[in-house]
Amino acid sequence: MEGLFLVAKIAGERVAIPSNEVESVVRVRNYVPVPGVSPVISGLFALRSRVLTLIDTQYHISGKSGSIENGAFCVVTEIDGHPYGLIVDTVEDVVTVNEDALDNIGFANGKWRSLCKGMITHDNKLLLLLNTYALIDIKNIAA
Amino acid sequence: MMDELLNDFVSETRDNLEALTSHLLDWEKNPSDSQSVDSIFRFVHTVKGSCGFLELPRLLELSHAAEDVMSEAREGKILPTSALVSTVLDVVDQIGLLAESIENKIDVANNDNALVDAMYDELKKARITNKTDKDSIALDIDNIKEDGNASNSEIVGNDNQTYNDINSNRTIRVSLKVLDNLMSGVSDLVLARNEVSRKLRDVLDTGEVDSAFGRLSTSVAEMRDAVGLMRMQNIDRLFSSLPRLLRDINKELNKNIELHIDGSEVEIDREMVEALRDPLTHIIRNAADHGIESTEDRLAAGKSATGNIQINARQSGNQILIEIIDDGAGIDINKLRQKVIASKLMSAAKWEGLSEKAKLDMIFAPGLSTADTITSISGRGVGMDVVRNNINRISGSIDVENFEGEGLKITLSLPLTLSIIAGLSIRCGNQMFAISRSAVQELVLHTNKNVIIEEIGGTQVACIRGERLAYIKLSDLVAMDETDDNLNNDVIHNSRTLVVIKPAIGKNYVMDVDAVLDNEELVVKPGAPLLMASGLYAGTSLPDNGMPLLLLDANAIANRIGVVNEEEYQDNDNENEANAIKRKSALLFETLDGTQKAIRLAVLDRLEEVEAHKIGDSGGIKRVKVQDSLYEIFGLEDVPENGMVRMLRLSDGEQLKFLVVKEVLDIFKLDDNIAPSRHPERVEGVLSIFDKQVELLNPYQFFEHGAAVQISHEHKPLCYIRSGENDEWGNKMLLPLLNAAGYRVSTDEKDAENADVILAMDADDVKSEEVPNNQVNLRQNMAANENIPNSIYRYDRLSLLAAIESKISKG
Repeated sequence: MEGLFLVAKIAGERVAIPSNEVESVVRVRNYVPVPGVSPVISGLFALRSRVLTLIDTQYHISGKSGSIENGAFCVVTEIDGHPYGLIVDTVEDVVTVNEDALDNIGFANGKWRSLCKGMITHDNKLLLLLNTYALIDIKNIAA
Repeated sequence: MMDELLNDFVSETRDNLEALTSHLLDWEKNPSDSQSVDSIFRFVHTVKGSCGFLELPRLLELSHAAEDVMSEAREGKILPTSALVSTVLDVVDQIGLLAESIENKIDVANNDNALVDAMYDELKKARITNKTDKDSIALDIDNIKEDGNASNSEIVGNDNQTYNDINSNRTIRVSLKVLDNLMSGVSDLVLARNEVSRKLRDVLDTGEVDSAFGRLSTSVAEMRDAVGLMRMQNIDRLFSSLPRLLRDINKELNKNIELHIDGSEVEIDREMVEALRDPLTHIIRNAADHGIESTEDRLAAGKSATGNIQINARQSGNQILIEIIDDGAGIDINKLRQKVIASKLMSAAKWEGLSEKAKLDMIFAPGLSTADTITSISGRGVGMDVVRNNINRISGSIDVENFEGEGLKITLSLPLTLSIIAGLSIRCGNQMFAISRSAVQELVLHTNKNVIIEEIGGTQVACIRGERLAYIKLSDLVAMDETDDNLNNDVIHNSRTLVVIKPAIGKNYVMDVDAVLDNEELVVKPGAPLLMASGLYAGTSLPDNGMPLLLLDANAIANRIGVVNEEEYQDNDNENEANAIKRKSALLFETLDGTQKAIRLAVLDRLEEVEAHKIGDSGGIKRVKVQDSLYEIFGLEDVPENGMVRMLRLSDGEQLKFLVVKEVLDIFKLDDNIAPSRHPERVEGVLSIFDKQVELLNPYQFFEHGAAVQISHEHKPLCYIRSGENDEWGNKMLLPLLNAAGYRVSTDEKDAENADVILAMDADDVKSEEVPNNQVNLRQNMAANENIPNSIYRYDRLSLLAAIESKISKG
């Protein structure tokens, strides 16, 4: 069995997101900021009749909230029935990775450790396997 | 494939069970009711058939056993005893539980054999009792058999009937997911329509497109309404389990209580049905256990031996009202007082200071139970506080009316749907927020002279008309830079508004916002857990402009600023204070012609908005229809064709009147500076408000007219019209006149003795006969007739009514 992954860049690192967790990739325009909440939330964004909660993924790594530019890429995903938009630097490609390549090669260090399920290889290059749930897990986020 | 069949089986069983409950109870009440017996038989038979096929051995065994019993009942071999019905109910319950367990995968304890054995035991007893009286019953059995046969053929007929019914009102099963998809699809459609409409406005020449777009727009709106209806469900779903509940309570408490349900046709949001189940169950348990007395006590109190619980449901505007009325003992205020003081909820002195209503409201205090003994029915440590919290959670409210010794009436007011709320949109800096209108008590402009923001100990307190409230700036609350927009500081300053918020628990508080913009109907979307964790927001919403909106959570904010932790029931004192203020305050409003007027708050109930088509102009009086009654309205020259009319609801304690206003401006305190007016009956005096002269209206004028026509009596007096040969005039003219004046009227001779007043039309020479004290004589001609002294000309309405009134007051 082969796995399909979306390859994107977060805080300069290449990550892989399992394609079955990805609904679509859209560009953010006219988002609404949300004051008074964790800085992980960068705002709300209406995608048709749904309201996406935008997640500032790089904040997890850098600890600094970045601003969203008009047209920034966001990966739309649904977790526990709530729609989210994960803001990423860029989206590169959708790739197929053999299951044997999914073996845990090692764990990332530092902040990445809690956000990854492991590493995978594609085209002889390493990718971090993103744990999308960790991005929105309250326990994972110091207020 | 198998899963699909299983799911179908589970939902079908669930539906059948719901429909079956009432049949089971009917059967118990009337054991020879063949229709009920047949329904139950059919149910267990169907279950047996399906589960043999689906390989569900436990269900098969249970349904098989129940089928045995029911088939004997059907053939008339047994007359069911109450104990037998109970065991059958237990088995049916177990069937229901097992069916549910297929879906939710929770195991059900296996006591099937015990249940089945108990049922067979009772079955034997039922047979034996029948045999002891063999001879006399043999005939009966034959009869029943015949009945059974007759009803068998009837069943076939009934089946055809149901089949026809189904044809005329067909339904299909649709999964919730499909429904939700459809709903969000329609929301998308609405948003897309709005966008197209905005784009169209930018294009200059759109003639033909416009009309096509109009059609599209209408059908989209219709579709949205239709989809909205799909979420609605008959409230009967909520009520269907209650007869069974009451039966079990009756058994357990050895009481005899009857349940009456009215308004099963009301439709409510399907999620609301689930949310209401527990609170309603609890209220009914309370009523049965604590409210309704034992049979002996009831008889001693001169009541019927059977207790009654009445449930009424109706839709009123955009609210659903559910009333639960019992004819029990009501709440013993003295006992409540003891409990409250014993539970140290407040001091005795404080209790005495409470209004009647505030005292009654103490039943909602946490940790209070007025029951002396704990029974298994209620008193499980879950009190009315939990009920109220549950109702509040779905934006409803609960109200109690106590008739000590006679009963209790509990009214639940609920929004039509859970997902749409009436909201106020609020601006703070560049950010938009919304808050549920039900939590907002009042809006006060910052520039209002009655508002002072006091600063003390590094915090701020708002003082509105002398009442001090916790104060928070929304911009501080959400840690926002409010000077984002300092281009136009003056404008911002002028529109600053204080929103007085009444949380479900705790004291009122004031939220200071840049501006309150609009009333909006908002579709609430649940927020992501991260968003809710902030303790500020209740969710999000997507208004028609397509920009997401944050909904503020009034209760969570109350928690956050700490108004909840203070002694919770202090606000009852505030209520008294508020009442004191109410007496001395007046409301400033703008009439339709644009002048500013004021009216005392004491006569004011509330502000209402009414659709114009509910207003009528007939009989020289403009009236509005509210719920089912007509009320007189003032301040309206012409009835508008459409739109909403804003009006103040005035009350003198008995009557209701409405006064149309354009805008409500402010509430202010009345001082002694009231300049006299030339027409005190209409204008009580003239005030100076913000350097403007404003008339303070005299509310008397609105009530005096109504009273002249409609004479209020505790019970309507009976007038008997003795018409003789001239009965046509009595029926055509006099009867409507008297009815309009608020009397009961009869032309039946039998009522002559009981009548409070007799109106004699046939008196042409009363000098000779003895005239009863309560008789009023009418004459046909205007000129006085010496043969009938003290008579009244029949078209002299005022004298006639005056004469009737004087007879009644003498009698």
